[in-house]
Amino acid sequence: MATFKSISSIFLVFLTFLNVAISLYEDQIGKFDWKQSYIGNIKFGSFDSVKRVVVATDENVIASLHLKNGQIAWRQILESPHGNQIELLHVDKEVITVSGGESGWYVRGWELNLGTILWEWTLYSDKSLKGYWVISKDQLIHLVPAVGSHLEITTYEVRTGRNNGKTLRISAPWITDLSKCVTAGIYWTCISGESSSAELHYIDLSSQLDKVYNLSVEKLIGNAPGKVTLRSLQYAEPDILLIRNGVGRYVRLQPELPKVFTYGLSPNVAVAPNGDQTLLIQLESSSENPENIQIHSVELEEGKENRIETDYVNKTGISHIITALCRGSACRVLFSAQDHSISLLQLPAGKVAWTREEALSHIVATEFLELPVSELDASIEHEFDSVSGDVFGTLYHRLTSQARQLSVLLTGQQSTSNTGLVRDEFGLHKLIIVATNVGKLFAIDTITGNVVWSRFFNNVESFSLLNKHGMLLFVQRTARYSPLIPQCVLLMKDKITGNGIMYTFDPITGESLQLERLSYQINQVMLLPYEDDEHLKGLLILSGDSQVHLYPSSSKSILLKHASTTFLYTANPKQGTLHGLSLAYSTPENIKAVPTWSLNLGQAELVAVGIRPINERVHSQGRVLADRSVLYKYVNPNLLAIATIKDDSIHKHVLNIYLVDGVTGLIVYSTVHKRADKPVHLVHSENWLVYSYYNERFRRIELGAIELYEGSVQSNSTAFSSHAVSQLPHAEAQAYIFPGTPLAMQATITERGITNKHILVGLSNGAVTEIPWAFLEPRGNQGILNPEEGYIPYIPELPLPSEATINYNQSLARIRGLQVAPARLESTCLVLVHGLDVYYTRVTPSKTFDLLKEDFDHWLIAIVLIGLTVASYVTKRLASRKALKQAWK
Amino acid sequence: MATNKIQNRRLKWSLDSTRNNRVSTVNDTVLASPPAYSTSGTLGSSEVAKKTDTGHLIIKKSWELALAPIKQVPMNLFIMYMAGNSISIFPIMMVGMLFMRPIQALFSLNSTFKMLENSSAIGQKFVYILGNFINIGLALYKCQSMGLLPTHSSDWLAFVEPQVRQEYLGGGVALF
Amino acid sequence: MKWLILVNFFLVFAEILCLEVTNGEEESETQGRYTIEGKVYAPDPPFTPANWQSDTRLHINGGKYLGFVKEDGSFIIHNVPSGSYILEVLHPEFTYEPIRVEINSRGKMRARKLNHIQTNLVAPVPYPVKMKPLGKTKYFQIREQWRLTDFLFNPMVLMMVLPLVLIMILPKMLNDPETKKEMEQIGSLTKFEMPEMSDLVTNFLAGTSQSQLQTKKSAKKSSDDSDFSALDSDKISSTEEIEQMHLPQPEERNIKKGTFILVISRGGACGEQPPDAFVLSRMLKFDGF
Repeated sequence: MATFKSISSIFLVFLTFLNVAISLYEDQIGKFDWKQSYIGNIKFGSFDSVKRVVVATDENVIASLHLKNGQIAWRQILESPHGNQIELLHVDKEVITVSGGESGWYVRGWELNLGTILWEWTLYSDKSLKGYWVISKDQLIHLVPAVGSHLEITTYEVRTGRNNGKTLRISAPWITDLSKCVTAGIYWTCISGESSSAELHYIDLSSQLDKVYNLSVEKLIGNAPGKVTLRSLQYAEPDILLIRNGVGRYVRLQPELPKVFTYGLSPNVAVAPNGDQTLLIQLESSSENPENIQIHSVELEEGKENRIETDYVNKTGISHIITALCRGSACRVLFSAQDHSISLLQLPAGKVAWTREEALSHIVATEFLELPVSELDASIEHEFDSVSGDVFGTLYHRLTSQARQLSVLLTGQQSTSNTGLVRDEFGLHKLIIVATNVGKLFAIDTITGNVVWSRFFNNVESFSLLNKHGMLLFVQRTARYSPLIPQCVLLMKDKITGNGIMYTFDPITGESLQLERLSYQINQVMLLPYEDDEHLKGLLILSGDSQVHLYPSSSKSILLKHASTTFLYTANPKQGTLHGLSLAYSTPENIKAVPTWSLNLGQAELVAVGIRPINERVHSQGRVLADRSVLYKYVNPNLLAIATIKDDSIHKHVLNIYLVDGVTGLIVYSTVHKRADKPVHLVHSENWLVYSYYNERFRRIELGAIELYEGSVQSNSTAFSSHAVSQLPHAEAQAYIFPGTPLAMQATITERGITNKHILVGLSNGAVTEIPWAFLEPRGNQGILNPEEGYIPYIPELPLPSEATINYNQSLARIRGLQVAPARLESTCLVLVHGLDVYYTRVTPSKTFDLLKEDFDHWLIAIVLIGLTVASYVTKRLASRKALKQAWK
Repeated sequence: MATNKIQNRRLKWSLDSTRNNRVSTVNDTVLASPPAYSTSGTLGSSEVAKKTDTGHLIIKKSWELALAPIKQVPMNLFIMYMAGNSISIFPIMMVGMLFMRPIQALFSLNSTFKMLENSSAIGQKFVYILGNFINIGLALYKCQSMGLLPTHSSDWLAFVEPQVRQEYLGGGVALF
Repeated sequence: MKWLILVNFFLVFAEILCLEVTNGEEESETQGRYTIEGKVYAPDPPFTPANWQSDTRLHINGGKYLGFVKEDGSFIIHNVPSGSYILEVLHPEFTYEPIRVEINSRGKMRARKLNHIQTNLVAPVPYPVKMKPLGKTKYFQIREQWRLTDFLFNPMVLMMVLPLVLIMILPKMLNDPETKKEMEQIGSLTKFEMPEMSDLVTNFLAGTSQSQLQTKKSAKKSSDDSDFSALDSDKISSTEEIEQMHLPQPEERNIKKGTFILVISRGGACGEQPPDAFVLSRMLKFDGF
């Protein structure tokens, strides 16, 4: 108990310590950070009034959006979307959702206005069979079809989950393919058979009878060649769409004989109730501008048609209408496009009221890009690199350029391109290039958070990197080399063929330079670290059949020059193996990557691979000890950090951490944690590594920190070579208890590496906290460390004060990743947090030591200085006068 | 007495030479002896001694000048001891003083030994210089004990360039 | 009396009913899924934010199972298998303390305080869970306000301004003739001790002329016992003489002794002969004794 008290007292001390080191001031919020909330790709939607629309997305999120501007009124985030999806959304007096999957079904009722939960109950069913849900009156009907045999129907009371225990079992041998079955109102229908002999079967679920109606399709819509498919209209009435050859027919299901409407409709038609009338709304490409969309509405009963032009430019292919509502002649149509953006159309005006870019709810690759200097600065710089070397030439050059600048200044601004996108003094205005899972590429301005340009690719998907989705984004040339445009490259995977797709573009303007569909699957990619004459870094792609491809091909010569010092590595997550390849055996005709080493880490699953950031600079090569000697750090730029988890019989899971030199395959350090499980996150920076894992024995999350030192003598002070290993480095390790659940971790990075390093951890409670590296540093050499330098004694549990959260009260949902970039100011690091929400801010790990503080009282100092100078002169005069008077006495 | 008091008060700066109280019984002069003047013979004797042996005295004085820095060594040692080893304004001021005094003395060597222009005083000058160097040495020792001298490798750590990378590595998790 | 007991019993019974644990036995077909129930309290009325129920979420083990808060603050988390879980209440503005909930294989619930270090320590917490907020989460640091006291009590300011003030004000105070007289009296009182001290010092330094001085002193002392005032006047007159030589500074009266000693030491350091006894006696004589 005493130790606990002492520990808690030390806690308080550290809380104050931490207080001083990192926190925000209330007047700083919103000045350099922004947050954008997203909900995901909409699956179901329903208007609940003329003011709001309730939507359910495939990220397992329910939200209510304002119709006026598309902002989120309330949002409820349900379980993780991997095993759970929303299957039913019913909006009436309350919002009823059925969501779930693997672990069971949750039926929840939400209040319309605020989103508070009203009731909730759970239901279990066999996971392997797909279930359908229908709500009719106050009954929730769960139906589980078993293909080829029967149908099981269970009815529950919606609000309480009470069922009468009976499960109706109806024999239904006509169920052949579940993709041809849909629910429509209270009916469940299927199409069985092929074209001419196709039959439509439907059953009324609300009646307790097991009456199945069968009809041949021919009788309904005539005989014609072509496959018939069914589509459900998300509508309360039992209506379906029978689609054949791209034309749909509206069928209203009724007992005995369904009613068929003879209008030819497009497959993406939606039903908009309008009082007692019903309007069928379809999107088609407009006849006048093929790029725009026009709304073609058909009244159901009377067949009156109407076409309205809209100003929505269709860039993405097929859009589909989620829901529509009409009141008299005014309609609101909510539709989503292939790129997951949601737009609201207002009819009869035909205007798009708002658009939400929901692709940003799943970001897979980010890259920060420095902006080019303004024209004026560029011309000033240009002045200095004139070609002619003689005096008069340079003089003339300078005079003319200065005259030009003066004219520019006098006549006002005349910038030709990108008026807003210029670099600012401190490098805080950057452009973030973001690639999303659906295949949309955005460029976001860091100051405002607005999208500068975007580009959509159809039929692409991301690579799966260790249970996460990712695309590869590289910067081949920055905006620093002024007449040469900056260039970025994005690598994606084709959805259909699985081959790679390479897209090269200019990140500042969004201009596409090249879109190349590769003929092979991408295995590994490396951005060459050497620039050619045009300051372009080449891209090396290792294909699935171990061939090496270079883009652009002109970088071949420079690669050959450095071929003996270029190496590649591949990690295979499922088998737990690592392979290293060397390019040293390349010849000018044939560049090949030869395997040099391979490491088999046991039948373990790779959970994390970390490499030091490429643009990182380590400022000091060693650490000063108390006796003023230096303990040199082991900074290996080719070091890989690998974490694997293996199942074990005795200790349930075993976590292994390896530090492997990627060039030679030498395991520099390894450590084992028994009974440690996922989630494992790694941060690798400078000469240290921080990783998190779940300790099964004590049921808590722990953080481990490893730091590598060479010793008191540097083996080679000028160059580091992985081949020249004289001795293994000495490692210090320490573990801490972490009172939270980390979802992502990243270390801050600054331009010169002078500032302290802080580790940013995104937690499950929506906060992103900053932990100073000084708290996590292994204290092994505490005896010899300089005691004056803020030595922090070891405490087992890391304190997480609320002042250390960088996003104050803006909780972020489902944090997926953190991306950091250095600013030109040494003290500042820019952070982008993405997940379901996107949040950007600036972090200053050592406080703003290179900036004047914001409340620097310029006026006070100026007044005091001027006052003192004036006072000194005045007193000098007075004193001399007094002395003179005295002398005359 | 009282009148004297009043008179003395009025004329602050005046020296009333007509007063003849307090005048010593030794000399019956009219004038009051100047303040601190004693009409004893010992002073006169010392004066006499001075007049006769000027050269000897000069040499003696010059040696005293030369030995003055060495005499300051114990005082400097004491000052060093009292100033402490921390880096704050007072010790730094003391160290600065310890440095500047001998250096200034060295530079004003000629002016100090001005009165010995006629006779060469190489020995004294040498001893004087030596003494000042000893003082400088003391100041350096003080710097060393305060840790200001870059004698250890940690002082040159800031100038160590980061190691040049010889090999380049790329790659990642297998993408297919 | 009896009815009191009955009422008590009834209340206890009702409480037991309220504390009933739902096991969800009807779902026992799938490895025993249980529910965790409880109530979340909002902060007290003046600080209760609007719609706090929809902003509050409950996480089990970092989001594995979720709970939502109804309008009255109660929550139910369904579908939880047996095991040990960390239950935390999340609200952007308020902090709640997380607790550990354990469900054993038979469905019994136990809630205890979360302790990461001493994981086996059982500090029970009532179940169904009652989560009260610890307080408003403090995200920001308060800007340092500039206070006048900071400026005044700054040591540098004190060191510079206070002596300035003293130097400027004191002379004005002391130029007043009445205060001057008072100072003189005080000075004379204190000075009663001073000559003895200076005598001691001179004795120490003179050496051979000690006897001379001592006899003189004793003679003086014997004469002075009777005539205290005469001594005073003598002293005062002597000080007057000294006044003639020095600038008349009131403080200097008190530090006269100091100057006296300085004279002696300076004499020694100048390289001249050390003042012998006779010289010393002359110097002393100057003082008037």
